[in-house]
Amino acid sequence: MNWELYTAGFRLFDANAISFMVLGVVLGLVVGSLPGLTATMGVSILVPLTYGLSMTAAIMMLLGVYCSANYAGSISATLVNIPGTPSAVMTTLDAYPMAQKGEAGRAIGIATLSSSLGGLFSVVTLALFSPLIASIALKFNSFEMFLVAFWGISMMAYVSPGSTLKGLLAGFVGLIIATIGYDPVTAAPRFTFGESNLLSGVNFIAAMIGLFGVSEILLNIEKPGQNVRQEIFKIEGSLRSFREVIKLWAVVLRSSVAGVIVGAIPGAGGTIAAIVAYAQQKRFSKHPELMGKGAPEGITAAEAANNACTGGAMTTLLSLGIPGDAVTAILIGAFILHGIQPGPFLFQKNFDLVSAIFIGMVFINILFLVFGMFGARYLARLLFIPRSILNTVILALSVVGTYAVQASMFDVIVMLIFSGLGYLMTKQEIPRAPMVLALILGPLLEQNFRRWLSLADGQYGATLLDTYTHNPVSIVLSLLVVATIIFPLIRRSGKATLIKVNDQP
Amino acid sequence: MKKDFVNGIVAAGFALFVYAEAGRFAEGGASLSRNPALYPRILAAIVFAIGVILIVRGIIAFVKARGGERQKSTTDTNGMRYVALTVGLLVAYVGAIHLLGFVIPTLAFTLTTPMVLGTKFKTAVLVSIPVTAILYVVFFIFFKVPIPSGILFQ
Repeated sequence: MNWELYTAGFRLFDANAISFMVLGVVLGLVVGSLPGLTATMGVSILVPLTYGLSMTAAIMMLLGVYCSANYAGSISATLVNIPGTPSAVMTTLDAYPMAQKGEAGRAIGIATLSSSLGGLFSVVTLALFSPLIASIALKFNSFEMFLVAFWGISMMAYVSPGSTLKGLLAGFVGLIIATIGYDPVTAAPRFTFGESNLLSGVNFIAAMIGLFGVSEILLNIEKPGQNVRQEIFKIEGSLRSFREVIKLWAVVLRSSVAGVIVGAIPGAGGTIAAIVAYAQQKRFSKHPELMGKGAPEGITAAEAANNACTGGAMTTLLSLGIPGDAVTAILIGAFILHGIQPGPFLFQKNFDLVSAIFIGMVFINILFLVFGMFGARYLARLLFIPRSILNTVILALSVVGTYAVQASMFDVIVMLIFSGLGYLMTKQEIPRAPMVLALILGPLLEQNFRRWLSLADGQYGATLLDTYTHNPVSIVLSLLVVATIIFPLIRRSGKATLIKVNDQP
Repeated sequence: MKKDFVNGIVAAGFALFVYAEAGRFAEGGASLSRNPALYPRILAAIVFAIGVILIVRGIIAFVKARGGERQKSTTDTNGMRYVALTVGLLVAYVGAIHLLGFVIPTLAFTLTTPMVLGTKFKTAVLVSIPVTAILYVVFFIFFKVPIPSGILFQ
């Protein structure tokens, strides 16, 4: 391990980057604590705000939101039995019963430290494995890169809620939308209908804000009981739970490993990680009968896993350019907005930024540990804000934020269209995450496909045969793609989703 | 399942539209790699195939369900009314900021929308002014990103 290379990122940290990292953590805690607001929504709405920031400050702020929102979902899960983010759904099973026994502080303390330890473990694996994966991916040819991008989209369709077929539909429609604008080879305008604003394609930030920001608010508005004021438990003695979590080190380790692995699977995300780790813990537990009744190991398993997921998702994002979940798909958009293309070349050209991300994520996981331990009681007060006001503020923020990206009202209209699309997709049980991923990966997919066609020079069959006979990587990747698409389709029910969950962390 | 059938019809229709529309920029004589319509047409063909599978799945589910109990509609009309009103206000807000710029429409939007969603007038007023001010300060002064200026108030 080249220690000097790993610490190169410290050079990018100035007062500005540190301040925005702290701000990101605070905003993430706010977003995560409020049921109905998700990390995906928070990051998508905040991307435009980073436009005027330095690259490091922007990435740190968004990573701060991502990691801390994933943790903060446990606060409302503990206090009012409603997960602040979908990934805290398993936390409610033990944290709320513990709070009902008058131990809300203990539950929050366990959740906070477990989340932080899970997140820190995932950063270590990210730092160890992402350069390794990137060095392998650097040797990929255009056909293999095409297969990697295609596998990413099909995998996201596979693990998204609802049927895989609908996930694939969302993905392929997203790929079609990504073709809008100039053709990458001939520069012929495609599907622009004479609108000059579409020549450079659909603004993906506007699309993301629409799909995950506004449409989510519209879905929130539809639910009854928006302004009901809830009674919440008092938070006392969070710090006392430290010793308890240290005793559960094996649970933390096991769940973190599960979280990292699930996080690295495109589309799986924190919710599935928490479910897998919780089920795993139930098998390993000496007292499985106590889980679901306020067992500390249940909280630890769920929280360590959903935060470990962040490092797993970032591993594929940084090394392959394939996001592990909806938030990292949006993060790719933020990277591109700041002129950075995640993927194997990032490790060659910009390792100091990669190193800054590793370092930043370590600090973020420590920061939310401190803020969570001492600030949870203040975050709990946010639960008193009427939903109608919160929803309105986010809608206004979405409109102004979308405009801010390119000072374009056309982008705002695009955002409104995607809001309607996202809302209707959810009503029709079609997952939105594969569409976002397809919008991001579409150009990469097409460029590599066209490059391969060009290199084949009319000899497509012979070139394909040559590719498969000389490179086992192509065979493995092709088998992965075929298995991901075919396996769920041949299953009897046609519903191949691993676990039905919300499609965003 | 009705949803599968509807999704299938929309997907197949969309795919046919994309396939036909790609004909406008197709270059027949060019090599495959230089034909801008090839890739979108492949995608359209896949979407069409998925659409057809969904239609068939929807029909099969419908036939199977005919003998059984009818599914109850779970649509919450009250919730839908709130969504429709909010969308209307949102579209009006976007139109208004295009004309009047950021401040006045944001004040109006942050006042009317909470009221439509059940907040009292007094609370809405108390929220509207600081929210507009905070958004202005955060976007324009703190993050230095552009905010809509409007046609009438440049």
